[in-house]
Amino acid sequence: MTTISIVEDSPVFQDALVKIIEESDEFAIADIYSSAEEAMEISVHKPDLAIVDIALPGMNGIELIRKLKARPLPTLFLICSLHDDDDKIVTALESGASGYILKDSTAAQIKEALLEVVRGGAPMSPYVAKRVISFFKSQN
Amino acid sequence: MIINYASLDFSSNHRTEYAYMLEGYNKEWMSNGPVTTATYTNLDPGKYVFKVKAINPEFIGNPQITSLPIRIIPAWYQTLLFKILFITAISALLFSLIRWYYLARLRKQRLEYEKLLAVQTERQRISAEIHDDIGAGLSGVRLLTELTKQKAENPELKSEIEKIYSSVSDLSGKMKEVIWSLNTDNDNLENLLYYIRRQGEQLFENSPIELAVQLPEQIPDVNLKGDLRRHIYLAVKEALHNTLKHSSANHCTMSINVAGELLDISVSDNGKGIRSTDHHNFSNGLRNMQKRMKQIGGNVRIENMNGTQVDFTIPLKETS
Repeated sequence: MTTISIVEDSPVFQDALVKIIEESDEFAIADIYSSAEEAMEISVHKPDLAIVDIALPGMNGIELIRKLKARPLPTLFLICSLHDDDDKIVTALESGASGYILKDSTAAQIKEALLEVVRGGAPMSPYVAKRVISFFKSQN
Repeated sequence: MIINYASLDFSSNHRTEYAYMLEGYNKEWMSNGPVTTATYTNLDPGKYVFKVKAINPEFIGNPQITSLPIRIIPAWYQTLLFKILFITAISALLFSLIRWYYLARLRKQRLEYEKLLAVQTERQRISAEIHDDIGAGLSGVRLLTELTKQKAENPELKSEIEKIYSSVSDLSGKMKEVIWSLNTDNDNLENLLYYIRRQGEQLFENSPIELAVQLPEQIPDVNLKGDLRRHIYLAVKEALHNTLKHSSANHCTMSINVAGELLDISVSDNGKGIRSTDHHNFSNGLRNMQKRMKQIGGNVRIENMNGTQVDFTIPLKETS
């Protein structure tokens, strides 16, 4: 069973993510953190997967992933954010996140994204994927 | 200054005449007839020599000239020192008046700027807080509602939950629009056009209609205030929404052009056009678009040939 930690400061959204995970047979909750500082523990607990919000009090989610990725860690990271601007998306993916989904995704989309990360894919909300493609187009 | 003079002429015929000049003032001799006074007014301070001569026709020969050196001492207000002090004082006064005026203007501008900055900072703060706290909360509630709906077996309950779900989704979308219009970072044309494109793409994401968006290659750097952006966006959204709901089209093109100070947005589809049966829905939408365009000094035109085409023409220069 895939263990998942959550880094999310909104209690309601935290609750929703917990429900999605608990109701699925493939996943189990590891730890829940409300800030990136607390979530540095991920390097000790080593869950299979972590759902990370970007806007957090103190250190942001991108910085957290960058710091954790600097160590040898099996954990995969999935960004789940309200932000959909190009620079957030690009820096999040650069920092080492495996996927980027938006908070306005449905429960089914979130669950599908988690499964895809586990399968080694890079799930993205349709709009995020479009932005990534146009970002690369603009780079050429 | 009056100077009295007289010659020692004791003859009785009284035919002695005089001429005088004030060296330093007169250039030539002044004939004065038999009068024995010379009057000068308004003489500038300085050194003069008063010269007078008596002319008697019975006397032949060069008349003798009598001289009287005169020095007029300047009044206190005519001294150089006073003049220098006076000019300095006036200059200093003028300088401080001008300085005071500019300083006052500068202070006023700074106050206005600070006020504007405070409003902007506050808008940023509010939008960031709404975005992060309420946005995440609403998304959470929407997800929880979705999960509850899946578990509900009673169809009546399911439909009630569905209503809650779509209301929350709706609220969440509207809140995002408010945040976007509040955030002063977005106060420019480029941001507006990208936002319209993004919202358009999202609106058509799960629909059978293919949306093609054409943006200008070069978007000029134009500042646009939040309410202006909002009116333009909502008017265009209304047009896109009409296409989505009522056109039965399979293709929609939104083309955006900037010509000089005019923004031109056209939304055209290959659908059935506006039929008399849709008239009620359509006239509501049209009224909304017209109202918004009127508020920002723009114009909306609708053509109903091979589908529907809605054209917005919006002046970018502020009229206020």
